[in-house]
Amino acid sequence: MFGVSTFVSVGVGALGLLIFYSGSFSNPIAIAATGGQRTNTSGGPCPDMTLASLGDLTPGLIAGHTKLGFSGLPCDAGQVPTAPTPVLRLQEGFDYFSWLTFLALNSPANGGQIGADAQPIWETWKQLPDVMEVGGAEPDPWDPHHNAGHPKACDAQFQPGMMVIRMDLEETYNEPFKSGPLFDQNGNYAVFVIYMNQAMFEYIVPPSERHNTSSQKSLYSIALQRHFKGPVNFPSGDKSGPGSVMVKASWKILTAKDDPSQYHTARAILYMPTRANPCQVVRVGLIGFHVGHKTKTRQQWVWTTFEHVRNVPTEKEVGDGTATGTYSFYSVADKGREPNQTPPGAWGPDETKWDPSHPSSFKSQIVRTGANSQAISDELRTINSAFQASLKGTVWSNYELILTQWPSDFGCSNRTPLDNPSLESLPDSTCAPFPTYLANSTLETFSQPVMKTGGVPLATSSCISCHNNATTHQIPARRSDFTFILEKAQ
Amino acid sequence: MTDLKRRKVIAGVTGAAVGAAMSGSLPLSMLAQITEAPSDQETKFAKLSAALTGFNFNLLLPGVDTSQLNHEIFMKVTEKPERTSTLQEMFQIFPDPGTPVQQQTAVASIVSTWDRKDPKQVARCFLGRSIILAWYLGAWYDPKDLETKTYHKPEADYAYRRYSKSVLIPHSVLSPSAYTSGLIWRVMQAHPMGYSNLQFGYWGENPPDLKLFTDQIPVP
Repeated sequence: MFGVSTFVSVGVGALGLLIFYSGSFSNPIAIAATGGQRTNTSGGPCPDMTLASLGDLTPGLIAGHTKLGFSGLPCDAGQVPTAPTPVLRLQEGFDYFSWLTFLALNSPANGGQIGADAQPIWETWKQLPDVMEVGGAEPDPWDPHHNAGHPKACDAQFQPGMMVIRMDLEETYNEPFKSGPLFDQNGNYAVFVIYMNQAMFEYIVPPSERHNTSSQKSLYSIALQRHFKGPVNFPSGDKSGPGSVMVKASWKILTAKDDPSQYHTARAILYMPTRANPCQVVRVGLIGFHVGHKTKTRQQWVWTTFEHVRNVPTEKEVGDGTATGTYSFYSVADKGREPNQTPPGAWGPDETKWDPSHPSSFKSQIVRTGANSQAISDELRTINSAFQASLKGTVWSNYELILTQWPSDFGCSNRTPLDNPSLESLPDSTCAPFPTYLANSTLETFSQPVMKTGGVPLATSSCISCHNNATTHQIPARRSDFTFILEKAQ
Repeated sequence: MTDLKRRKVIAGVTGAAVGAAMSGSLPLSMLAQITEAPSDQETKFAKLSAALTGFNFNLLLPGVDTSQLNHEIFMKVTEKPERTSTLQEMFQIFPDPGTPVQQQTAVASIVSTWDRKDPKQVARCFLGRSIILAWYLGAWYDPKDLETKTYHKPEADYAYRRYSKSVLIPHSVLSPSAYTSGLIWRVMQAHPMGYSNLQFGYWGENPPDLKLFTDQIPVP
């Protein structure tokens, strides 16, 4: 529909390209008709997905992406600039990219079409504890059928396809920077798990370096991080493959009071080693979904976040009285209570003596704060409605995109440390993230921007700004390319 | 605009007028600007500001303007009708289009020419200086205060030498975003306290080249 040269010529100043890789742009309908790449690995070519305008989000277009089991991650989601302003046009493009990513990652791991609830592709990836093992042990090789490890104590309970939720790890229940745990209206912790795809895993554990205790290319232990010949530079997505992708998911433990048909659910082992019964099998429902995706022209990664639609009301909805019904982390009956307060007292499950059969008496009262401009709110409404409509009748229609954060200085965002060593000294190595702040009400509950008083840099949630400070574990630490995974090495 | 002290800004306790949102640390009234193209007036203001500050236009008004600092300062300048008309006079004097030399010569003339017999010239001079300070320090120094305090009466000389409070020029921080985005940090090749976008370990390296701080990074 539009040749590369035409697209490249459009832009404002140094903006130039919206796309994440200079690929060709074919008719999106034609692409949809041929389908995405069916692959259960994170490798493989990336399909082009060009969107002329939000008006093109027709049921037919989305169905083409959805019903054909679109499992290839988008590296290239371009938008022809028909929106009125550069920022809105670009935000639409990135939000479209985010929804395609959602469809791709949540396509069934067995290669079927996204639809009925099934184990999605990302749940077959490596979980953080299976990479940063106890004592710095070498992780098992990549195998999407057997990537999930489990504690030996759970041998009897573990079955293939299960997730392991390590309640002995603080990051499982305590939000970033130890800002506090989150309890649902049933008194259960929201729990958090981190996954990485094959490209990311094999950068940390290069197949060619297995069993090499003097490797200068491995990063899965403190000792090896000391030997590592930097800089840390995770693979970027381009035409040949999606590059590095990491997922952080938040879950609620489903009880008899919850309707599992409204969630993507998974069976999980809740591992609490200090308990008499350390391995409890539970059913969990997905409530929050972060994706970080590094692409060739977005070296600061693209940051996407989704939430379940019934997590919390917005501040505006509470204010104008339209917050009604049941929320996972808000009680309408208790609306006089000050929201977004951290729980009192000790936070750990052992200190609180919590387990699913002995829930906490504390229930978090959370609202989503901050506000988008009207134009962005309208765009989000349009794009969410379009994709949710295409997923109607499935659990996936119960999820909404909150927003996408992206590095807006395009002249800066496509440089790598290897290309330009002085990049490490750029005045703004975040390359001007937009929006400035972004938070998920279940994952950055207590550092959301506040509508009335504002956001404080590095104290209010911003994916790129915060992850810009991520380092490896060893002393002296080195920059770790926007991921905190490496600091978990043992 | 709420009077903000720098200490409060860093501590995160800001005035109610400084609303922030997911789209930035901006008042709600400015959020719409993010998705709007800058007006002709604001574009012209950015060009004037570039000449006043010596910074690249594309840095003050990038294509994707996440800080909205140009809009914020423009709104402050035009808050009062008399300043709006002074600004229009400056636009008339400022050559646009014009070469950088022509533009900088014009603004240098504006901010350094101060004939008390010509109130309009005085107004232009000190408004120009207010604009420079707003960009560099993220704070608003009213032109009237600049005029009064900068050129103090002879009997205040002793007080001035003692740096007494009476000779300090009143000001208010425009917003947290304006403070952290102030050009002064770029000139210093540093960052404000409590906030840095430099990469981990930067303290062990030489600062980036000054040109990287003050100029648009060229697209390869």
